[in-house]
Order: sequence, then C-alpha cells, then structure tokens
Amino acid sequence: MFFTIALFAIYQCVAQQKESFTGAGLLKVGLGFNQSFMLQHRSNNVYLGGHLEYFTSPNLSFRGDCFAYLDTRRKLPVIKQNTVVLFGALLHLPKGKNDFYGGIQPGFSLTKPAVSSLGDQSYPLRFLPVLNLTLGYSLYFSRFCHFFIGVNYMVARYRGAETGSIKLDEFMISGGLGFHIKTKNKSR
Amino acid sequence: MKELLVFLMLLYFFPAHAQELKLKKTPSGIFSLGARSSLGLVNDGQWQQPAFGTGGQFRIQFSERVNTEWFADHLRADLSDYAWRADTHIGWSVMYYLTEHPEKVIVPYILAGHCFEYLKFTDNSDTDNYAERWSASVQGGVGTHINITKRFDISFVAQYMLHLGTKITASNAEDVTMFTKSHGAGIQDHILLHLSLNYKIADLW
Repeated sequence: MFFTIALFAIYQCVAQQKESFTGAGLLKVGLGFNQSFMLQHRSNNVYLGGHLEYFTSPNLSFRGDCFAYLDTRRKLPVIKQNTVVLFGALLHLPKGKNDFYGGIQPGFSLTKPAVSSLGDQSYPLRFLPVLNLTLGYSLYFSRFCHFFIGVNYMVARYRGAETGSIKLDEFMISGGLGFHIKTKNKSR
Repeated sequence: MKELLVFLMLLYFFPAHAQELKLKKTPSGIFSLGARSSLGLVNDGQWQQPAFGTGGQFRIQFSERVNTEWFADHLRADLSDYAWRADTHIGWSVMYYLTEHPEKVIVPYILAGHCFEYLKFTDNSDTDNYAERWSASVQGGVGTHINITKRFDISFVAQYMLHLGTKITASNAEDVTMFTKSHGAGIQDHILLHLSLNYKIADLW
C-alpha cells in the first residue's frame, strides 16, 4: 500500500513538472539516521549521517558524507567506534521533482572494533581507507526541502587484528529530510 | 565569522565554475582536482595479500595531448594473518593521450612518472614490533578517461611501480613475527590499479 502511494506520488510529480529541479548551483544538506547491515557479521548498526552536496550541472554533483556510529541493534557489538568521511561524485537522472542518482565516494574512517570475542584483544583506533557506492532517490517537494532515500555499500578492512584483518563491509539504508538552496539562477 | 566568510567565498566560487569550462587558448593550463580508490597487487611473498587504499590527486595539463597528475594515496594490506603493511605514496605522472582529440568520451593514455613511498610493516599482536623504510620509485602504465561531461571524468589506471629501497620481508614461526631489512638498496615492484573521479576546475593559462 505504501509503495503504491509512493509510486502514485512520484507519477504525479513527473506528470506535473517535466523540467528538472536540479541544476548548476543547487546546494543540498541532509541529516538523518542510517541503518546498516554488516555483511560478514551478525550486526545491525545505527549511524548518524550528514551530507553536503553541490551540483555543477543537472546531472552531476559532488558530495561529502559523514557517518558517526551510534550503536548496534544486536547484543554483541562488532564496532566500538567508527567515524566515516567520504567525498565523491554522483550522477543524476532528474525528471521534474524526481531525481534518481548513483555515485562513487572514496574516503576514510577512524575505526575501533569492539573487544574481540576470540582473544580479548583490545584494538586501537585506526585510520582505514574506505570505498562507498551509493544509489538513491530525492523528491523535491518544496522550494527548500526534499525527501531522500538511498542505499550505500561501504567497503572497509581493519588491519592488524589477531585473525589478520576484520572485514567491516556494510550495506546501509538511509533516508530523511534534506534542505536545499539554489545559489545560481537558471537564467544566468 | 571567519567560517561564514569562507563559506560565502565558496558559494561565490562554485557558481562561477558550474558553467562550461572556457578555455583561454588551448587545453594547456587546465587544472583538475580528484579523489581515487586504489588496489595494490604486491608479489613480495606468499604472505602478501592485496592492498586497498584511498587518496587524491590534481592534474595540470601542458598541451592538448600531455597532462600531468600529482597524487598521494594510502594503502593497507594483510601480511598473512600475523602482520599488516601500510604504503603511503606521493608522486607524479605524465600522461600522454593516444587520441588526437582528448575531448572524446573514451580517452586512452599511457603514463610514466616518479613517486616516493613510506612503507611500514606492523606485527598484529605487538604494535611496537615494526619495520619501516622510505623508497623512491618509477612507474609506468596505461589508463583511460571516461568523460562523463566536458568537465568531469572517471579514470581507470593500471600501473607498474618499481621501488628502489631497503627490502623488508616478514616471517612468522611459533607465533613470533620477525621483520628483516636487507642491507643496501634493493628493488621491489608492485602493480597499482586505481579508479579516480576528476573535475576540471579552471584553465590557468
């Protein structure tokens, strides 16, 4: 039922406005909670996520993301501390108020796994290279606000654990309310 | 107040560069900025695993078919299950475009250059047990830009790096990890693959 309403809302938006909302100079910020699923561990983590995005054309934007680990929804946490910073480019397929996007964001994280269940090893906080692939959708429902929903696949390895390395790949679902302003008029 | 001023300056700067890049004369002088994700394939021993890293670069183009790339990246890899290595590269490459019109969608190129590397091996069970070295290297390879727009490209590169420096090897026997540094300079090599995202900021001259 929810999806039917959502699809209908999207269809209405597309039908009403064909000209894309995105364009050069569009500046977006968003803040939301992110639910992640670790692929190699039984752990569902919750992150606080924020992003800042700037469009250089209707189909291209540059975006920086920051995720801060809050907690896990499982009894035994895999991560104790994790802050991720990403920066990359997103390609957009805008149509009216709708905008489907995908992109690649290299970055890094400061990560400290939880105390190991294998050997009680306490891990230090380490700098890790990260690669993030993202897909998502934005609905620009007003002049200054939009909804967004997206999925991320984030690749990371913590080196130096007693077993060699800890795979920390996460599949993340994010969504929330964002704000935007057009810093440049289309007529310019 | 200072932060607000910087933010307003950025807002002023960005719209000016959201338009198509206007060339002053020729493509020489185009300045690009980008980020990269790297994969290192090292063949130092059976204990060596592939490395994964991240970094960034800028480019300054010198003519229609010659571009330069100035980069820094940081990669990490497992050494079997008893140690890990961290490679930090800083260097530059000259790229020569194989097509006459580098504004096409697919632009293959060859590249060669130099870099410096800081390498550190660390024991998994004892972070005070480590070995490190600096080395200089030459690299050569092939790559291609995929021009998504006139100002933005995604690039794929495969390059072979030859390092001149002290060689470090790792071994583990009875749960004791040892790192051995050779005397004098040696040669080590590896292959570096990277994917980068680049945006042309300005034509400087």
